[in-house]
Amino acid sequence: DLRAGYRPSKNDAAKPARPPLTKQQVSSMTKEQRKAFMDEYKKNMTVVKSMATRASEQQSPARPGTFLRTFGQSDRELIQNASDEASVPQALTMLNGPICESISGPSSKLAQMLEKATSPMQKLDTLYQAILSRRPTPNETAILNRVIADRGDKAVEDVTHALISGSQFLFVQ
Amino acid sequence: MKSLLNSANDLTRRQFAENVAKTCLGVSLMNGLAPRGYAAFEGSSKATQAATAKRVIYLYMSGGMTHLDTFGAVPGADTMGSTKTIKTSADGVQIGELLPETAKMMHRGAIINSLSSTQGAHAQGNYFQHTSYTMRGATRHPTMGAWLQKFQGKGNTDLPGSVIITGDSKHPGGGFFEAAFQPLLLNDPARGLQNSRMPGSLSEGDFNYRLGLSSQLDQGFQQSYNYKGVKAYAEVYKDAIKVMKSEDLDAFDLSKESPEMHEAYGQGNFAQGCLLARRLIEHGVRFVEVTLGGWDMHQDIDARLPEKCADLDKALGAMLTDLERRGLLDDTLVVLTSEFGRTPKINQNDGRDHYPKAFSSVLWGGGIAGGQVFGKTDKGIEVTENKVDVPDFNATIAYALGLPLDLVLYSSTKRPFTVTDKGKPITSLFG
Repeated sequence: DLRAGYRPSKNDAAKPARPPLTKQQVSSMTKEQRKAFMDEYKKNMTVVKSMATRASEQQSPARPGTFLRTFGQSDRELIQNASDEASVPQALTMLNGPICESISGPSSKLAQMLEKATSPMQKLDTLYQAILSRRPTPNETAILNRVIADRGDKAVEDVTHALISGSQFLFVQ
Repeated sequence: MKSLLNSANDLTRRQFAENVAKTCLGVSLMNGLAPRGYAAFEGSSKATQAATAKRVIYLYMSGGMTHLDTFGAVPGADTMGSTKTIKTSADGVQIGELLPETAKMMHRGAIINSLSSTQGAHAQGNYFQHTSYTMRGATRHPTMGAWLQKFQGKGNTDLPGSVIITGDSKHPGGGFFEAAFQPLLLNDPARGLQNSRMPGSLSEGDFNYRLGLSSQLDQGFQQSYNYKGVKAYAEVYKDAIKVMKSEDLDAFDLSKESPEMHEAYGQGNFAQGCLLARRLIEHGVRFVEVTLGGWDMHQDIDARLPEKCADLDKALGAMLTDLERRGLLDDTLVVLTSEFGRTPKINQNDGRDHYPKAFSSVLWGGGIAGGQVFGKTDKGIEVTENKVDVPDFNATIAYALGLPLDLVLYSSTKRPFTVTDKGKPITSLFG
């Protein structure tokens, strides 16, 4: 039926095995190598699993259940059918989705900025400026010092995740 | 003796003053029942019954389902187009031939053929059908799932009170109620509740530490901006975490169903949505809505209808038989409705246009006496008996759930609203 359009059966979309590359390997690849790798990966995949695709590269409207739709993109059935309501799936995406891993991964812009900072406190300072556009207050600095003492290397990732899923990120002033 | 009788008849000064106050100043006698005693909301029905339905599966046919080719079919009429009618499991009831599986379950269902609305556009009709109030700029009204949660609470404290499975981004949702009453909107049921588990690389201890850190860092902000709106967003996060940590998270996972189940319901968003709805009500969610779109057939209705009806029929038939087999159909109300019907006259593009003057909806289970048809149209053009207004239809659903139809609740702007405005339930449907 031509009217139904081309509908490949669901079973064809076999999930491609994620190539076993560690974060360190990815960050050590050159820009060209990374680009080639992502092209290969994208060719085999039907589901956008990372944050590497731009919104303009997705079909419009995006498929239901994907990031843009979850955050209220219109389904284009009616004019102005977009929604600006908060919802539990949105909160789940911020808490568990690929956002935090993407921005704190070693090949992200934020990681490059953080590498320039030397002490852990300076790193957290840069993190605050990147995410909240301000420096941490004295109270927050005290909390952050404790975090650095408790968590050591994991402090940066912890604070990134905590800030992304907090209220201040929603209301950046 | 005489003096005793005299004193028995005389009003004391105190009683006299009280009576004056009650009549002149409007001080109500029923101070104890203050919420119910408001005369401010006239017209809402006082009918109420013990609940015959504990939960609702609300199937919404978005776009305006044609009533003449489905449930409002009039055998032999010239307005039927090319659709014939078939017999159903209910005596004397015939529906369109494109719904054979559903026809086998009509002995549990009641068709209402005399629905009539004034809202002929999609956005307005959709809103009216979901909330029983016409669309207006001043307020967003809550839908039935939110009202149910407000009056009777959740079935399962960890899972959301109501779930809406739809491709549509916009839905009235919980209206002016607090964030805790907003339904969970799921776009793709086959993939379940996405991001509901922690990323594999993260341990539970790490995750909890980060949550604690997040609330610590937010404290200053929350204290200086102690507004409802700000708190509402934090509530959404808290709800999300509750869902994540609930043991019933498997309710959202469709891969736990057998392949035979998936076969029986079919593929596609609607079928998977129906399967998910059945799973969710088993785990205690009390209101699940599933939407099937694409009914807006202004062109080539004969070409488009068979496939759409096949999708609907397979999933609906499978779900109703499934519910009956599990014994859930007796206290689960299954509702099938749309925003309006379609014109009896086929238009120049071989399609049908919007027609809110007469259309049909169906109710199954939940205390409904099956096998009946309520209301009649003449060939689907005009309603001839028992006209039912959209608020009346929603009042019937609320009546089945045992919700108080005259209890007034106030929005944040101090406007009064009831569950279905002035809708009167069709009590004769209940056996």
